[in-house]
Amino acid sequence: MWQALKRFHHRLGSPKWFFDLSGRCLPYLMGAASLLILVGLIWGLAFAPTERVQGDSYRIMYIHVPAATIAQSAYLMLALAGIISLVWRIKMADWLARSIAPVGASFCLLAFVTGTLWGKPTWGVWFVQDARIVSVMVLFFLYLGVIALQSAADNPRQSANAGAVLAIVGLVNIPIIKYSVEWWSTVHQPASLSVGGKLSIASSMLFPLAISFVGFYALFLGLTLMRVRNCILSSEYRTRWVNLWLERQFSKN
Amino acid sequence: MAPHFHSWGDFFAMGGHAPYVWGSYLLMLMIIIWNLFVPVMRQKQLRRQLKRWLALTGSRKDGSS
Repeated sequence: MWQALKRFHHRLGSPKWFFDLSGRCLPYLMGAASLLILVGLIWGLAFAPTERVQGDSYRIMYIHVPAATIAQSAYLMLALAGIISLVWRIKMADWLARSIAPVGASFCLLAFVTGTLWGKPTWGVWFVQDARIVSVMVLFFLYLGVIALQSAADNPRQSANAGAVLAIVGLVNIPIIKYSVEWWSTVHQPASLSVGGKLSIASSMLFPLAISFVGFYALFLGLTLMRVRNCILSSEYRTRWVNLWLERQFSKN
Repeated sequence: MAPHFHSWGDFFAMGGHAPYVWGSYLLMLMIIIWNLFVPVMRQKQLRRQLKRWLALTGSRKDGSS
C-alpha cells in the first residue's frame, strides 16, 4: 500500500504521466461537463419554480453559486501548488499554478459580475460595501496579482516563486469570504446549505443547482488541464516522448 | 415536470428581470468560450513551432523523458 502511494506521488511529478493521463481523461471530463451544465441550467432556467420574494432573477443563482464556490476552491488549489512549488521545487506544481490562476480568475469574475447583476433587482443597487462582496473583489485582485507576478518574463523561477508567495499570503482572504456572512451583518444571503445543518433551499431548486455545480467543477478541471498540457509541451519539447507524441499528431492530420 | 413558464415570451421576459438573467448567462458563455479559445490557440501555436524546430534539428534520440 505504501509502495503504491510512493509510486503515485512519484508519478504526480512526472510530466509524461500527467500528460498521458490528462489526454485520456479530457474528452470524458469535457463531455460530462457539457452535459451536466446543459441539464442543470436548462432545468434551473425553465423548469424550476420561481422564487417567492425575488422572482425570476434568482435563476442567476445556478451560475453564481457554482462560480463563487469554484473561485474559492481554485484559489486553495493555487495556494497549495504554490507551497509545493516553494518547498519541493517541483515543475509540475509551477505549471499547475500557472494554469489554475487564469481559470480561477475567470470564475471569480463570473461570480462577481453575476452577483452584481443579481443584486441590482434584489437590493436596488449595483454595489454595496458589504463584507462578502468586497472580499470576493479582493480575491479577484489577488488572482490578477498572482497572474501578473507569474508573467514576469525575466526569470521563470523568480516569477513562479513570487506568484506562489502572493497566493499563500492571500489565503487569509478565503475564511473571510466564507464566514463574512456570519461574522458581520451583511446584505448577502447567508448559507442555505451547511454540512450537518438544515436545508433551507427547496429540493426543486437544489437538484439543478447541484447538477450545474458538478458540471462547472468538471469544466474548471478540464479548462485547467488544457492549459497544463500546454505548459508541459512548452517545457518538455526536447524530450523523446514529446517528439514521439508530436510525430503521432502530425501523422494523424 | 412541467416547464415553469407558460410561453416563450414569458421565458425570455424572466418576470421583468430579463437583462439581468440573460446578461449573466451571456457573460458565462463568453467566459467559457474565451477559456476554450486561449489554450486551443496556444496548442496550435506550439505544434507549429515544434514542427519547425523538429525539421531544423531532426528528431532527438536523447531518450530522456
